[in-house]
Amino acid sequence: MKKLMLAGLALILSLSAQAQENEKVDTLNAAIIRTDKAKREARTQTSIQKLDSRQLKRGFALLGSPDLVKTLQTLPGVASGTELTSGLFVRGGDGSDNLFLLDGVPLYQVSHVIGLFSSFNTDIIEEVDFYKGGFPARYGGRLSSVVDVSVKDGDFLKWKGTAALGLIDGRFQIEGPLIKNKTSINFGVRRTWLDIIKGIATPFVLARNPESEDMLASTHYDFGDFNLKLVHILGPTSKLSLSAYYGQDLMTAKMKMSEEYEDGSSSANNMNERIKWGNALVSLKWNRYWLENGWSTESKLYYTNYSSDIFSRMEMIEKNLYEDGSMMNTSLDLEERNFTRIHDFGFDSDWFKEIVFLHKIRMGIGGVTHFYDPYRYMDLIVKVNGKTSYKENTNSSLSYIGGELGLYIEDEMNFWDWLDVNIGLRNTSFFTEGKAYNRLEPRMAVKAALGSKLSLKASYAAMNQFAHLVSACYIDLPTSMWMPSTSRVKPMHADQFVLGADFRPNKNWRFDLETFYKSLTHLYEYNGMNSFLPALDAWESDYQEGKGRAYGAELSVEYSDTHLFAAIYYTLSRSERFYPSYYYSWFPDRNDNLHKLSLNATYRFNAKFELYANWTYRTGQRITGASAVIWGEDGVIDYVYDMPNSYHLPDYHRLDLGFNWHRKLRSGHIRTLNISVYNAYNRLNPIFGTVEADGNKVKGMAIGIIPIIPTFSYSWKF
Amino acid sequence: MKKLLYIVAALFLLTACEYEFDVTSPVGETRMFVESISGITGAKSYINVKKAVPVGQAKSDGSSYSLESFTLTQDGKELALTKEGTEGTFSYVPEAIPGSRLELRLKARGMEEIRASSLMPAPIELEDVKCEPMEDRLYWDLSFKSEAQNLLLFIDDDHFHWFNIYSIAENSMLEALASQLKTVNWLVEDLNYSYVMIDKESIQENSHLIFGSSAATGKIRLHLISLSDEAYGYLNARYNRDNNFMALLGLSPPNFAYSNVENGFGVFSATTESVFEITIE
Repeated sequence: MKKLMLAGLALILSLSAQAQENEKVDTLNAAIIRTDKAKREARTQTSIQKLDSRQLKRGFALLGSPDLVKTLQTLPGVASGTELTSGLFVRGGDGSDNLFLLDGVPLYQVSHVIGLFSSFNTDIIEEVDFYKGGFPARYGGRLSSVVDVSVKDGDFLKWKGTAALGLIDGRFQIEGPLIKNKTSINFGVRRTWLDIIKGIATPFVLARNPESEDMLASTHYDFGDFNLKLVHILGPTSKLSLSAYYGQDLMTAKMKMSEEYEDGSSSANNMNERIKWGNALVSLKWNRYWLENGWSTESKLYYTNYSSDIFSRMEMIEKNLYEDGSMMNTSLDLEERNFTRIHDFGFDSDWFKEIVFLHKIRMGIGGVTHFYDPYRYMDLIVKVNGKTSYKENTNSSLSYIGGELGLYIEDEMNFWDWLDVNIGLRNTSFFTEGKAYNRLEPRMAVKAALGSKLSLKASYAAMNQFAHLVSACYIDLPTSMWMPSTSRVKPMHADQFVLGADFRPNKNWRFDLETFYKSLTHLYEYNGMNSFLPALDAWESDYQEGKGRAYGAELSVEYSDTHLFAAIYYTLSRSERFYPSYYYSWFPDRNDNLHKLSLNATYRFNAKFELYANWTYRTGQRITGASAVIWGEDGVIDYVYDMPNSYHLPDYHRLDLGFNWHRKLRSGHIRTLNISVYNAYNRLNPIFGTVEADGNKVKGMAIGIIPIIPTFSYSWKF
Repeated sequence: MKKLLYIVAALFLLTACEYEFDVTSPVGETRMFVESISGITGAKSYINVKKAVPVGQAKSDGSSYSLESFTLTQDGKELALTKEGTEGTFSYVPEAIPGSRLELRLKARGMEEIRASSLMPAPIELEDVKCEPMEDRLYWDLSFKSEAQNLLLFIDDDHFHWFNIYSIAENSMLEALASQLKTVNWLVEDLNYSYVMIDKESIQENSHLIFGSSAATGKIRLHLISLSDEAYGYLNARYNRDNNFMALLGLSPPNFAYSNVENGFGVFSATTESVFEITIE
């Protein structure tokens, strides 16, 4: 009994100490949170969706991995483009006009496996702010959306983490105090198993199909990334954070072919291909809150880099034996490399103060130097009987330096307790060789509360973009290159107006309706021919200028209680383009999906089980086909093209299902089994389509290739 | 378990699926189609007149149509039209007057009257032509007198032998892959004319065009055909339609459509040809 009492006392003391420690940390965190207050959203904000890590993990996990971009694709106003890719076409945007920020630092390339996975490891994400319009003045540099991803600080008290195995990748995350209550670390790493699976599967495949040995042995694919965040508490009101990210995809292929002929001649080919692309970034951030005057700051220095490197080498050897007995040996050695890179050095300093309760001022300055330096080379040597008969070496490279300086101020005001107004102004100057652009971007947002449940809102934002993704193909490939605005290629510009209403009848329901109109000018599309590599010396002349407009309405209805979260997201919108070199008038954008509907539901039965379902429907993608045909006696003799993107592929719809089974162990660790089914009713949604004649009829033929994909993942939270 | 695996495997085997869908053209009614680029085939020019039926409509009456009126004018003066052997093909002979306006009006029964016009462009004038034999090629360097124009180019000799033209020489092989020379074919009366089309953007800033051609000796002729905006727009769209497989698959911008024909389809436009004769020793 005495032992029991002592044990009880020890337990109470330990809990009390823990509580005190927690309180201390809470106070500390409160101070830190206070310094982060500037991050909180203004009451006037329109067109924003906030997601936390729980929401990201609650949704569908493609191939066992929760995915940020795929979650965003379900939201209203967002078109996803080609199935399974990481396309994010926001309110008529073109996909390269989204600003992805990882702890405030731009990330230029956000996908692995050519769009199958996004670059963000959901285990390290604290929250995501996704803006489609009404952009606060602190954001600039992209036209259509801002995806602001915050990495969570590591725990200051105890070590914990997550390990997860997905169908083709694995994740590991660990966080904890390096110095208790002072310094924490959060580290996450992901890597694909594809190469390991291939290694395991190869003997089985070879046993059944020995002919596939060359193919299996010669191809390799892997991707991986890691995130690191170190936070050091400098004092009760300041902290220092170091964030780093590195992600890379690597694909290699080798091919050997040789043949010997009866006459003694022979030929042999060797080919090596290597494609490597990815991002790296590092930032150092300082947060400080001054109790005495109420100012707080978040200032940082950063470096970000995106590069892709495509290398190929081909060797061909031919031995020809002639009738007179002479032999001719011909060899060809061709080496090619295409390298593209953008890397930035930058700083930002944001300042925030609540002057009086009516005014919240936020202002800042940011500067960045962009370096763009793509290059290519080709080395060709042809030898006959060991003597060089032809030699060609070509190099081409470009080098631009772009300087960008942004200044902004925002003032959030409240009048009569029911009217909130946020007025902001941003000025961005961009300098590149021989050219300087200065752009003033007014921002305004108003929200009027009509009672406690209903509010009306409106916003206007002007945005400019000085970075252009020169891409020869709509698919997100490492052959694309980022280039700056130049004297010939002007900065892209967007104006967006939003009107909306928000109705919250009670704590369970939320209704949100927004209408928008967006106009886009100085849009560019690369129009080089039949090559995945945009020509370096002709990229400006092959860039076609046009404009765009998009308008529509978005409705969100959400219900949540302790067990159920359900949401209906509907979008009715139009997106159009005008490129004089393609067509004399406005024509539909390829991502012009008139209707888009998402139905999401997650039901939590108890602490152990949750079930989720997501049904997506949208009007089919646009394709270009002949508008008229000229008939001859034997059928069609010519096709006549008129308006681009004139046809819709069949409508797209898909159901995803899944469940999570959580099991809490005695140690307190939680194990979660996730089983998901992508495209549960196996609808092969069309990806490509053609319009062609078949006898006396012209018809559309669509091709769908993505079937039902069952997946699982197993995670262990410790 | 084994059965389950078989089912999953079977589902994956069913991955690729092709199916038909309805297409209804945004063009509601049947329209006339004309195709003529004067000067591209020498002094005698041709015009093809056909009927274009919107996609989604039945073949119905096929290719037949009945013309109610058809006039071509040059600066208001009517040009004589001659019916050629191929159904729907006519010829006419415009005068080579740069800056003159060619106009077309055509009415077929049951369809709206179509109209089109084009200005005959200024001829290409060269400051200098350099042609040097090097190894197995001729290397050409043309210096333009005036601003660069979109042009068609071909080289032949007295025996009408056409020479191959190679990529702009200063570019590397990789660059050449990315910006291949555009070969444009023009079919008239079963004769196929072939040209290389040079965009004015490809002509270097100091108005130089550098390219290679197959080797030759003796008298050879360099033909430079300046294109009106309409002719270039149409030829470029046709080239894209026939060659840009990425755009056909929907993977890159679909710039296949060009027409300057009001209420109809096709092109009615003009070119001006300049010929430079050179003797290679």
